Amino acid sequence: MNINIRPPGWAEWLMSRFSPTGFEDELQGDLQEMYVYWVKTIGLPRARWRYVLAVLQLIRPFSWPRTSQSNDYSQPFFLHPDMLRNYFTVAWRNLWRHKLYSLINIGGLALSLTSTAFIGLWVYDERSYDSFHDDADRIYRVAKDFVTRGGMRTPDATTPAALAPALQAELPEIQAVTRLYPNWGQKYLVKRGDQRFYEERVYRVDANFFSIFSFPFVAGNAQTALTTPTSIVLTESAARKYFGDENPIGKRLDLDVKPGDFVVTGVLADIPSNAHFRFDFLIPLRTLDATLNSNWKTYVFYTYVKLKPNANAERFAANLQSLFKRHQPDDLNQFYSQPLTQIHLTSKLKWELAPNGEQSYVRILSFVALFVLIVAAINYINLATARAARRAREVGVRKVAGAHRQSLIGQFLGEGILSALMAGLVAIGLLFLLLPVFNQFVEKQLSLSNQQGWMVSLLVILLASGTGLLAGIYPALVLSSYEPVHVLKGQHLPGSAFSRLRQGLVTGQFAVSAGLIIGTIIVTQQLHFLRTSSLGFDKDQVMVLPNIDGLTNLDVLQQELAALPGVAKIGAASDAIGYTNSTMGMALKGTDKGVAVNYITVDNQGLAVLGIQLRQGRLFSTQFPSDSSTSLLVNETAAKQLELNHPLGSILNTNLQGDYRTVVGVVKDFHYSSLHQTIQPFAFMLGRQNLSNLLVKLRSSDVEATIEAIQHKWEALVPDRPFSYSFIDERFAALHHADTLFEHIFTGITLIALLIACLGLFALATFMTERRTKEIGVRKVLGASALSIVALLARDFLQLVLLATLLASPGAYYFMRGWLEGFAYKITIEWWVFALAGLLAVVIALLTVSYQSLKAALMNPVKSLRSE
Amino acid sequence: MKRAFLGELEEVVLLTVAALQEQAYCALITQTIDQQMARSISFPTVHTTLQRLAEKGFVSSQMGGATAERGGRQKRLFTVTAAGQRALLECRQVRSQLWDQIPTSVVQLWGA
Repeated sequence: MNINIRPPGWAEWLMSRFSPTGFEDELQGDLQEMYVYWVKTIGLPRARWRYVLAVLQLIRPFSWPRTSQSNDYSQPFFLHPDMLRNYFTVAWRNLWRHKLYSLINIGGLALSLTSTAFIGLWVYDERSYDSFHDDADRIYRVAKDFVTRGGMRTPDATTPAALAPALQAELPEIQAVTRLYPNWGQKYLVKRGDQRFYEERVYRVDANFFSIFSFPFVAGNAQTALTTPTSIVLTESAARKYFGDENPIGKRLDLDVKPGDFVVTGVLADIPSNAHFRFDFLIPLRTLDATLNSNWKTYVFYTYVKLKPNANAERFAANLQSLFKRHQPDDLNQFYSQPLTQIHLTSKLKWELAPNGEQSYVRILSFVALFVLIVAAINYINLATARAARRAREVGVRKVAGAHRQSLIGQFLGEGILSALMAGLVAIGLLFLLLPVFNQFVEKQLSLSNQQGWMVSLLVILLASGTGLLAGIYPALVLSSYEPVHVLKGQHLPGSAFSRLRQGLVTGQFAVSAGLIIGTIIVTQQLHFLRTSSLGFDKDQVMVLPNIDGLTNLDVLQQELAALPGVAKIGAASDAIGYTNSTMGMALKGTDKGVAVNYITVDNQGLAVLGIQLRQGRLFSTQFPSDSSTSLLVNETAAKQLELNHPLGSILNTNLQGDYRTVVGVVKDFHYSSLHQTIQPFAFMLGRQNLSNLLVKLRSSDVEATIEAIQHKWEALVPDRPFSYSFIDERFAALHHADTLFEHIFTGITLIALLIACLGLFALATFMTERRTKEIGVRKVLGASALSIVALLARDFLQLVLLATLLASPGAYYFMRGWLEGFAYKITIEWWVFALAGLLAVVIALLTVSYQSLKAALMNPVKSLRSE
Repeated sequence: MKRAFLGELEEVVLLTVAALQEQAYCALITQTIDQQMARSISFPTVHTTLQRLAEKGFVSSQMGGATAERGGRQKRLFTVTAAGQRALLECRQVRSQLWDQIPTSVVQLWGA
């Protein structure tokens, strides 16, 4: 044997360092022999190659001893892979053996996590309005209270045109000011080639609009977008409507606004749904023929301000009012500023650019979402503890086998978290799956793409793990404390150990449920009240046709329409009831105590169409030709606030500038706006100049055909104006749209919470009954009736539910009264609501528990007592 | 009890262990298979197979027989256990059963 034949040194070294434990000697020896053999049979180079290959295959970690050669019975580390595998196996078996509990547990938690996440998304969206602008915290809207000599204030979002230039020039803390002039109900005809559409969302803005608002550009840029008088900026979807896939930049677009011929200078991404105003077209403010920079009297502009960094917002608000006083010393109006991001939820001024949200809804729903989560978490904890009690024996065996208390705690905590995480994953799946449905339900465009989706998913996972941790703590601590000798002998069968906690939790759960039931009853009652309470005029089947101002053949149109068989009455008005109305300061002649009065102008038939009821005096009539310049109708509130002791014949200064009119009639109060607002002074004047809406009262038969007939007449007589219409009752429904939506969400979430609570109660009842099978058997053998056994089983739960209702009532009362305070006209909360909620909770609990109780009570005791 | 399955490779290795009797250790087993069966099974494969057989209880092992060629390192000497013997016999029996089912005339036609 030539001793010089040596295998590669590095491979030899590897083998000596890394041979698998227990095989060091034999493998090195064998390999050396093999090397000699290989050199003999296949030559040196290939022998070396084989040797290296063999070494690489044999060394750790590529090979591992397949059988443990050691007699090592020392305790494994409790996170050793084998132990973890054991924990998983046992956890899985537990889940699988109690399929019903697992399903209820994980399903319930997943359901509530999903609802909570959805409500969370909704709340987040409501609170995120306008925060997408750069430096949104430095942007403010200037608004004012319209104040009359009588001291009446009407909060109002509009400002005069001259305000913006004055602010820019005189207040050093301001970085930029911009004005916005919306379409004010006007429709613009937009043409490109043979494409013609009427567009409403056309705003006129100052050239520096984009130095305050950072709507992202798709094409063009913020600096040059509005520099020339013929610039027009579109949103992406408007651009697609007129230009298809063409690049619209530099192309012409015809608008019936002077100078008519506009050039597209920019395309914006579509306005996010969480902006408090939304538009499709922007054109320069200069297109208005108005004395823009010196007019302090006409309030038709919106003014937005961006402060310099570090500017003091409070000082700005103070300076604002003093600036206005400097320019208009005689004007009583009070100016103030509103942070941009709070406009959507807190502003609620007259003439908002879009309907505002309701802060109270956001608050209530946040709490409700939290409650649903609590209900499911309680379920989870309850069932986990109930089930854990059955595992006392497992704990005994583990302890005998040498488990430390810490490792048991770790095991139970880990198990709780893991199955909660399963629920979290299911919830995330549901969230993505159901998002379109939810969006349709709440009429939003919430999205889970990108960052937001990740954030929500992360939050769901965190909430799930938190719940799992909570659910795991109690069993972990209690179970791990058992003495193995007791549990294995069966002396100490745990179960009562958890019952106090469980009772408390069930009470909490049903308190939440009862509170939600109370809330739902009150919300439903109030919404029913809103829908059914009389508005004081006839809102049904009154059609509003806009766009008639200045129409030369208005009389012909009216006659033709009145002749249609489906039309009952026809009249005209400046505004329809249910829309925002103009306001004017009025005072009794000889006094200077002005009162802000909403008014509309009508023709002789207008009031009859609306079914306005007369309290005293008369309506306008053709028999009194002078009505149009000298007469006035007021509502009861106006008569009271203007202090008209004998209203008929009183003479009012109707614009505080000397337009005197005589009150010829007083009409009964009617709701001209949502029931959130109290009835304010209202007046009707007769006139022809400002009539811009036709009011058509339809007969109830075949409304569809009548509308079609009206459209035909319109298109024949007014070919150059678009035909559009709306109904006053639909308008009133829209005023309470947010309330209806709230009712739906609230009812939906209550149902989910109840469902989850019932599932939990059902599983708990099943569990408790199972534990008492033998007891029930013995009782039956001794002569107990089925009824008494049902009573025995149900009594515990019923007591808890009643207690829960008592606990929940004050909280629910407090919250719902807060909600009702948002309505000027509302129901009173009556005691029977709480009784009914308690009764409902009891019935629901009874139904849930009774199935198991009955089953147990009717079971033949032979079956339960046979085996021991 | 379910009969432990003996794979083809395992059978070859186990047979070789039986054939080498007192001298069966990994290197020699590999060389024997190499020479007698003209079949090159890599050394690590044989090593793993032996461990698998030990795990199944077909072979037992003890240390011994250090020689100079192997740098004075001990060998692990394998012997077939009773279970291993049973498995081998069973294996042969199954095969011969099948052989017996082939008619002699056919086998003769094959040139046996």
